[in-house]
Amino acid sequence: MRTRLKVLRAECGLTQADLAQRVGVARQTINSIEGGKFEPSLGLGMRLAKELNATVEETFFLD
Amino acid sequence: MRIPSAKLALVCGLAWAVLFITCRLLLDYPGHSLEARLLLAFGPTVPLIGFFIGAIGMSRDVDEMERRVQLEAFACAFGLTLLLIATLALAQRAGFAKYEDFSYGHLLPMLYIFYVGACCWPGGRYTCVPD
Repeated sequence: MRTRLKVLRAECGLTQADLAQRVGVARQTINSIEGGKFEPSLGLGMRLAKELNATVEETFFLD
Repeated sequence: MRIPSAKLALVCGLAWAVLFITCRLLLDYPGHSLEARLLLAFGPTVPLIGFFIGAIGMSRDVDEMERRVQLEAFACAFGLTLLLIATLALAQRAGFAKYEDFSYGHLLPMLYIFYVGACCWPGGRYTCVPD
């Protein structure tokens, strides 16, 4: 699974720490998701997409 | 008032370590009464229960990635300890190791060492470049 999280986050002008605080996870978790090292749960994926004003499909997609 | 899980685990863990060593040293001396031996044998269990409650609370407080890291670390520690114990058991029967050197008393440090090592290993696996 790939993600556009970093691009969407940059468009919103948020840092990893800001986004992590908003969705209630550690900054390292956002870092790992952006780097493709960790695949978030459906709930976390939906919360991330909502915070970035995007849909889940725009945020995460399959190769 | 709810005590933070990390603080509870830390305080109870330290209390258990101190009590365990003290009781272990005291039990080396003979001549204790039955009541004293019961107290020395089961006394350290109380802070250990507090430690477990704190540790469970800590695992509930962390986010999903940290929980996965912890789960992988426990799986690695458990598997490696089992592997080592099983191998040592056969090695002991074959005459390559002495029971006194590799008894159940060594299980706890092995688990701890493997757990800390495994915590660092998958932690690194999930780590990316800084923001």
